[in-house]
Amino acid sequence: MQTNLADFIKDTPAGREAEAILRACMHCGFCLATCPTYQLLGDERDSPRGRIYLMKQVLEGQEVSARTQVHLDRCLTCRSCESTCPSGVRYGRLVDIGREVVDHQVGRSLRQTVFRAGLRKFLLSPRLFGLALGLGRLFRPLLPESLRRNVPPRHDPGAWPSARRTRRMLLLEGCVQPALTPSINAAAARVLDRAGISLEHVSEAGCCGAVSHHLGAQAEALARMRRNIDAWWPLLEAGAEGLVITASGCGAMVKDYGHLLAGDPGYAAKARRVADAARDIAEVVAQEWPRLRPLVQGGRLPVETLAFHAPCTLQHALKLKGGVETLLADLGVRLAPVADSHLCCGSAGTYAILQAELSQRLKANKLAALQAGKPQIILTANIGCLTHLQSGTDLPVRHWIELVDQALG
Amino acid sequence: MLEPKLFQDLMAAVGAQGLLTEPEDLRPYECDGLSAYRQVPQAVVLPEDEAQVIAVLKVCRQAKVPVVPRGAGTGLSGGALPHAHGVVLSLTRLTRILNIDPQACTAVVQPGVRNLAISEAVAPYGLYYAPDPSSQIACTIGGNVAENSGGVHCLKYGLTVHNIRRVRGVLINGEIIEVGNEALDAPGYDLLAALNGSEGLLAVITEITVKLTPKPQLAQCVLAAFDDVVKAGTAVSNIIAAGIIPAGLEMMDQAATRAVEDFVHAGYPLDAASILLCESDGTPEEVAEEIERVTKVLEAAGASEIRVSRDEAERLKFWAGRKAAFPAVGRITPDYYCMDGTIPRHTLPEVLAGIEALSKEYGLRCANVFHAGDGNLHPLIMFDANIPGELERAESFGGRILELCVRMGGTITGEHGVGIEKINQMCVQFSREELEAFHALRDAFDPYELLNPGKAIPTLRRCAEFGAMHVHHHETRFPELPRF
Amino acid sequence: MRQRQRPSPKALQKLLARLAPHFGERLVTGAAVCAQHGHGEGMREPMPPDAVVFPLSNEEVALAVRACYEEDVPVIAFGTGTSLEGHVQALHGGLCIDLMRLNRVLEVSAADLDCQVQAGVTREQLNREIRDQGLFFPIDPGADASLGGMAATRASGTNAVRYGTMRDNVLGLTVVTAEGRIIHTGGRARKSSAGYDLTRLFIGSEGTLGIITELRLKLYGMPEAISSAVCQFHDLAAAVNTVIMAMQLGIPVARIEILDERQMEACIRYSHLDEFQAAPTLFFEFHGSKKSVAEQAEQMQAVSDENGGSDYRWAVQPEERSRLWKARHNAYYASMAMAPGKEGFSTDACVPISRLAECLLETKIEAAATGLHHSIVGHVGDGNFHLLIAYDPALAQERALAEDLARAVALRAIRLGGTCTGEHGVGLHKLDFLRQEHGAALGLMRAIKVALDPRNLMNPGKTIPEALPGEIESLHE
Repeated sequence: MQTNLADFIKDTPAGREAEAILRACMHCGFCLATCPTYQLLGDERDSPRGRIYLMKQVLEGQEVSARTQVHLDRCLTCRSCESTCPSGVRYGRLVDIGREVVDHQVGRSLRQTVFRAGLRKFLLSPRLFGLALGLGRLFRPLLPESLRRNVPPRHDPGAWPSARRTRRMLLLEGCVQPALTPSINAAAARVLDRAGISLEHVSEAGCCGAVSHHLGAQAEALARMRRNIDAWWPLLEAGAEGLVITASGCGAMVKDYGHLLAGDPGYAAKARRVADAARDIAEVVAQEWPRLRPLVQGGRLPVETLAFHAPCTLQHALKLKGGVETLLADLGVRLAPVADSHLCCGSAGTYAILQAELSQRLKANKLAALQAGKPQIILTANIGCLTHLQSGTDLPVRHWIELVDQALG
Repeated sequence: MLEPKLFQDLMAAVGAQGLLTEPEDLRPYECDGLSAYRQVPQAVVLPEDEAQVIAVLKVCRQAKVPVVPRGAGTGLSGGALPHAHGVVLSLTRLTRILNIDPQACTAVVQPGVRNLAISEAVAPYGLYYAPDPSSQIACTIGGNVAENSGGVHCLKYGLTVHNIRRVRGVLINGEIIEVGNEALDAPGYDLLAALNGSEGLLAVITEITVKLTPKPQLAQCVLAAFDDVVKAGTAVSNIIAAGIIPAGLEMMDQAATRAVEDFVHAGYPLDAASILLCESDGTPEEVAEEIERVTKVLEAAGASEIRVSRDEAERLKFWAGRKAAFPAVGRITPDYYCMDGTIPRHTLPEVLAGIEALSKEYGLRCANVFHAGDGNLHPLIMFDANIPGELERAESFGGRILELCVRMGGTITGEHGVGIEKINQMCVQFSREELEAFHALRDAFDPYELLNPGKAIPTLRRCAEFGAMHVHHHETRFPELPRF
Repeated sequence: MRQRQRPSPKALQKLLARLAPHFGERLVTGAAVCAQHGHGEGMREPMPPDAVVFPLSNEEVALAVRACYEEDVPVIAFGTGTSLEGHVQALHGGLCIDLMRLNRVLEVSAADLDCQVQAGVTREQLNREIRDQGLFFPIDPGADASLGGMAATRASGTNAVRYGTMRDNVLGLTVVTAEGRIIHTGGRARKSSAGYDLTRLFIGSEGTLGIITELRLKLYGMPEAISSAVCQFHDLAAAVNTVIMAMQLGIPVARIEILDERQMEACIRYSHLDEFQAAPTLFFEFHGSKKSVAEQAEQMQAVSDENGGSDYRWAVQPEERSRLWKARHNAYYASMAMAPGKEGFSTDACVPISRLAECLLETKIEAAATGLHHSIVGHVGDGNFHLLIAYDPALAQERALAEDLARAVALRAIRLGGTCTGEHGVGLHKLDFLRQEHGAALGLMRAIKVALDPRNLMNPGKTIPEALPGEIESLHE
């Protein structure tokens, strides 16, 4: 498209990046076909093309108000549009830049600001979160239905294997995963142990930064990223093979570290190193599959039919479409077909809280598609999707690595 | 600014959720797929159902406000370009598939249903909806009817007009009409054909009964590379002359092929000057036979490489690139101007040579993608709108290509419609009497001329003015009309 | 629409005076020639025009029409006179323009698979002329009609199921408008979305919007192999079911015709088809390469077997195929031969194929109840069928019964989502049914008629019924 960026942004790195992305957009509209919010709302302003156009207005100096902000807030950042776009528009990057500019110009109401700050505080404090969760579990039967559905029961994580292997990989624990579902990382550690790899906790590292980043607290996000890099980089240099991530949402964030810290001379190179070293558990397991597959004992699988929900971050951000399904099929289990599998479940990090209505509609559609093939269990690859989907169904929803762990016995 | 009464009336018709009036909200609607032409409307309405559509039209007729219907906004001729004093009527919330009848091979759908979504919904019955414009992933069936869209498979399966049984629509005065018939034909005047390709000027479509086609048992695609564009054009003519009607016969030149390979990774031969995609479908034996015949023709025409798709996944991959060709060109140019002329097949090599010459004359690159089987060209003129004057040069280049098409006995638009984009060229293609007949037809449906005014059919005055800029052999067209 | 009256003798005189110097002997007012031009087929009272002219070119047609426009005299186009619904009856007199001397095939392009013909070329003439180029024009309504007439009535035929109707096979037209101007619609391009689809507006307009003088037609390569087969069934439903299943499987059969047991009996006697029984029967024809024809036949056989169909009788040699299809084309005469001394006519309904079995069975029961001689034949692949009814012309009661039966068939077809006329067109005799079928759209059609022919000179009184008192004339009042 023709662009004419305004002076305030034209010559900044962000402005130049945004302009290049805008020029790649042909305004063809293919992206509308796979955008979950456009499917629900049928309004150009809630489509990737429309959002690109809104951001173009802002960057070209048009006055903007909360009207534009609402539509950017409604974007799931699922990046399904990037997978569909033939011109290679990097929408994810543009929406980061656009949101920052718009939020800066429009601001937020006091209520919104307080709520968002509170949300960050709550999610990023393991003690606070853990305490709330613990209480929630304790008083589960007394909770109202809506809240109860969001408090998953605690599953026994099982034993963490001793650190006996020569090959080592680092584990990103994340902010909420250890409290909500400690069984996932434990299962991952056990599976990798069978493959001859020891998975290490790195206690100095914390949240990947996604929560802060997507809630507009850029400085906080960058601080967390630096903290993580300070914790991981030395270990990678000392011989850890990679950084394993069991939540695709976090994986997508870490993969962007190089890009987000490109302007920081002290961290740019290390950030790129960390981003390169980051791997989703699916990639690692696929690589080690020749060693793991023979260890699968017949008759160990607890289910015959399952449905796999591929998170947006896995498909569109990490571009690892189909990998998990291949592994699962190889185990001999039947995968129920899932219609519209490219569409977001509506979790999208904090979206489920901030855009509850749209999120619920997407969840309902996704569960209908997942359950149509009558699976016995739903598997996924991201903690956000997992808890979100579990809140809407009585079928068990688990991380797929737990099934592999069971299969290995 | 919207007049208070109009605002109130529209609010009553569609509610707050369905009415946009602030410029900030209206700008995303200021253009369709032809983003070089932009106009902010007075308002945008997003009705939820036919009743709201009727209400909106009645309000607009009363207030004498122009109405521009809009689907997914993927059109390439500016058909959904808003009117400065008008309302954009978006049909994108009418997205239900109302009925599927596998025995009669028909489906009844609302206009906002995406083309591909129809095929996806009827796939369990072994059926599909045949017309497949390249934007089928996103474009709506209502828009397809308005533009009489084609696509790769229209060579064998016809255009939209051949694949629609009935249309239900609303006239400007709010009256509902139903045209066509569930059976093969309808007596009286062919109003169904009149609506197909009417570009939103005759009625707003609210329901469509589409004809479904049984999925062929097998479909295979042949990919052939040529070191010369004219050779490829000749191969196309020869295939048809051999009496073969393939399911699809498409051509891409090197520039287009390289751009799409980047997106689709289908393994296209990047050194070829031109590649042909020729599809055969039917029973396995029919397909084998046809592919053999096609291969012989391609070899005789000098193909440097011939590949046949080995499975359904590969076949879809071959096509994915072709279908994404226009926007994929976005990887090598900031802007493109997509043309859509149609010529008698046998003139293909000559026209291609003509385009190459014009490209040198204008100093603008041009990638070529086409439905070679029916002689429908899509030259993609590449330019940079940020460079002053380039848009105008690109348009001028485009106009010359269309005039070349008409000189060869063709038409200025095969399937994208006239919209606003080619309205001047309509003056070149049609005589005064023909334009008068068009206007007479339009006035029978919409005597107030409120539906999508200024599109598709030029007024005679416009032709007179345009003709003045292109005096042909010292003859002025329509000499009796006064000029400014 | 403007009410039409017969032209005054003065107006006629002026018209003839204007045209005579130009047309000379080709302008005729003699009673015999006029009577001949006052009816088609279908056995109704002839209504002759006041004069007949025989132009030789587009310009001559335009000249004649222009003169009529200026003298306010109706114009009726005439081709081979084989129309079936009173299309050419000159209700209000006027000038009949006989197109049959515009009979040249102007251009044939094998490379583009199209041709340009004048309106008076008949389909058999065209096919004869292009046969040696390995080409053919498939639309076959039975009669050797003119292509202009076929376009004007949107003719269909026995192989519409595969090749479509005139609607799908005309690329462009040259038309003389009501004011006597020449326009061109469509073009050589295979597809166009420029302007409204005037080509298809004129197709099926039955001479009420303009006169077709030239056509650009789509041609096809002659199939390498053609074979015909006959299959008989225990009952009509089984036969129809076979067709439905075949359509769903996408078998590209070129022709499927259905004959009920009564029609089959008539054909056996009339055309000596002694090897067959008087049972519901399907006639098939397959086109394609040798292999694909064999494959299609195999698939069809599997489907008919499932429905209890008999073994197939094959006809591959052209003479054998001819014999079969001639028998089918002579269905009307064969049926009438079973009821000597009677007169007859055929209805022409078309329903969605999913409702065909229902429609046929109900129709049979109703027909049987009248006691009249009747039989059914149809292009069942498109849900189109003809009920042939015979009645004693001397018995007014029988005639009334016959007409009531025909009316019931038409209404039933409309009720089942179909149309009262599959291929014969509306003409004069189906005007009432158009009201039933179209409702509000009729107002639009009237508006179009008024827009393109404001003086109501083009074949007045046909195709679009005039508004009854109390009915809304057009939509925008």
